Amino acid sequence: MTTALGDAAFWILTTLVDGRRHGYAVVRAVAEASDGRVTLKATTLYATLERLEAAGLVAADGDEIVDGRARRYFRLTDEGRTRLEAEVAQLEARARAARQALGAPRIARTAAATA
Amino acid sequence: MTDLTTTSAAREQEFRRLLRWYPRQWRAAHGDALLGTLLDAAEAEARAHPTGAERRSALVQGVGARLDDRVAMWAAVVAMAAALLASIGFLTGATWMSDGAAVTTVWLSVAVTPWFMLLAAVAWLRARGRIDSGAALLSLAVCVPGVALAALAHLSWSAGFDAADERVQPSAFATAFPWLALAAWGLGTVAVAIVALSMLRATSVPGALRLAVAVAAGGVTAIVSSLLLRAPLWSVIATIALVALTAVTAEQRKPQSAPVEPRPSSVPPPAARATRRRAARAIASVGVVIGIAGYAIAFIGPVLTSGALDGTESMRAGVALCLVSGAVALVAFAITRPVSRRLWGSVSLFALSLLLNAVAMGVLQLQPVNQAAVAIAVSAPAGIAIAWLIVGHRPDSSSRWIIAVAAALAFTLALGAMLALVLAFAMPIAAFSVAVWRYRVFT
Repeated sequence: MTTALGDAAFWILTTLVDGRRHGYAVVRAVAEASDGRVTLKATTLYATLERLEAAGLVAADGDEIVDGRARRYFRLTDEGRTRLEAEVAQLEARARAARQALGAPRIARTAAATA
Repeated sequence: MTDLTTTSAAREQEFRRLLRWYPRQWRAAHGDALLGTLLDAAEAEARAHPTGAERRSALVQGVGARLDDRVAMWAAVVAMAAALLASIGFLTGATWMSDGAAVTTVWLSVAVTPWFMLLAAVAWLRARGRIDSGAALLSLAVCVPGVALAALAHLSWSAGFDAADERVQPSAFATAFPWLALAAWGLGTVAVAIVALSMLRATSVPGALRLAVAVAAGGVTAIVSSLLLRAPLWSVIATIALVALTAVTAEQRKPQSAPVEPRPSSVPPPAARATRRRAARAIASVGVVIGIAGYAIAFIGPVLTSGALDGTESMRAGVALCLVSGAVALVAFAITRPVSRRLWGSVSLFALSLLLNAVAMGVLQLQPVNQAAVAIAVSAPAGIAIAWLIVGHRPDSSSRWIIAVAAALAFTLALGAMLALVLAFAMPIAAFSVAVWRYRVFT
């Protein structure tokens, strides 16, 4: 699926709707939410987060040290939420149009078969 | 326990090595967070080493992160320097260039200039998140053989001409021109299309259309740029525009520092102001007289000198006098302004440039000298003055310096001598304005 945000950005925003998450938690959540189809590498994750942060769609939300390992948390901003909603609306409109196109001939065919 | 600690430290060290691809500033800001995520992922998959994909991705993202505003600006500066060197080579080529220098000029204009222009564009786009790092690096890599083949195609074309001139059978290299040109065009198209495709990925344009648009954009850009780069002046103008764009936009994106306090200008007492105004008017009046003499000699010189000067000679002498009147007007104008080293420094340089132009017009044009070199020499002081004015009160801003140098070079090499001639006849009018205008002194 292609979106105007780009795949990685779309899934990252989606997983942050529930609340703040640290880097690896985002990777895991994206894999789960996409049924394993999207596997983000840590390097790609941070490159995308940097871009989203610059665009004001996500914000860094504190660093923690767990077992001597740094964890940076990220959260969705209001602007990020609005952008994701717009994205979803666009995807739904496209899906509706496609479903209508696919559905119309089948109904016609069914009608013809029953006649 | 010690073993475990050692293993863990060694593993961390191995993952930390991946971060070396990133610039130091990026590592300081995000390095630990990225390392933590890499180690979390390795632990979850019970791995002790980075995967091949992680190593490749770190290389691409890390080197990509180095393509920022600074790289864009310096790449544009290098492209401009190469274009300027090549244009000087082309302009003066006929008189002094050896074959080696001629070949260097071709490589500078057809290979070095476009590659650094692409680097500037790609770094600029990546820094703004318009393209991803992978596309940026791939495009630059594809462009390397592309520009090399373009330079070879250019040389092959020249070799073909030489063979035709000497009426000999063209060499295999000369006959390879169409294939070299085609291959260069193909690679140039791919390099630009990669960038275009990455830009279009963040839009809702459907896949097939996106590819078609990207390839068309690549094909057109490659052919247009190869034609433009053959004309040295265009490549100089294009690279100067690129320098200005990268420098100005880098300046805008910088965090705003505290505004610079305006310096209080020293306002002298009214009596001193009146003296200065009188002095300015007197000097400007001298400029007007010189200018009127310039008009007279330019248009009725042969009559005034009873044929001692022909039409061309008197026109040159008249233009030279008009340029002198411009220099005088500038000095008169400067007297009315608040005194500063920058003002007097730049005014002196502009006036010097006008006087040199006048000498070149009145004297040197009659001598068999290299006109391009003269034009550059007489415009150089004005170029320096322009740079001085642009840098102004902000000598700490590197982007101002870059714009200043670009503007100075553009003026010196391309515009100066031409503008002075175009504006020569307006200069006595400027002197007249300074003489009669009811301006306020020291505002």
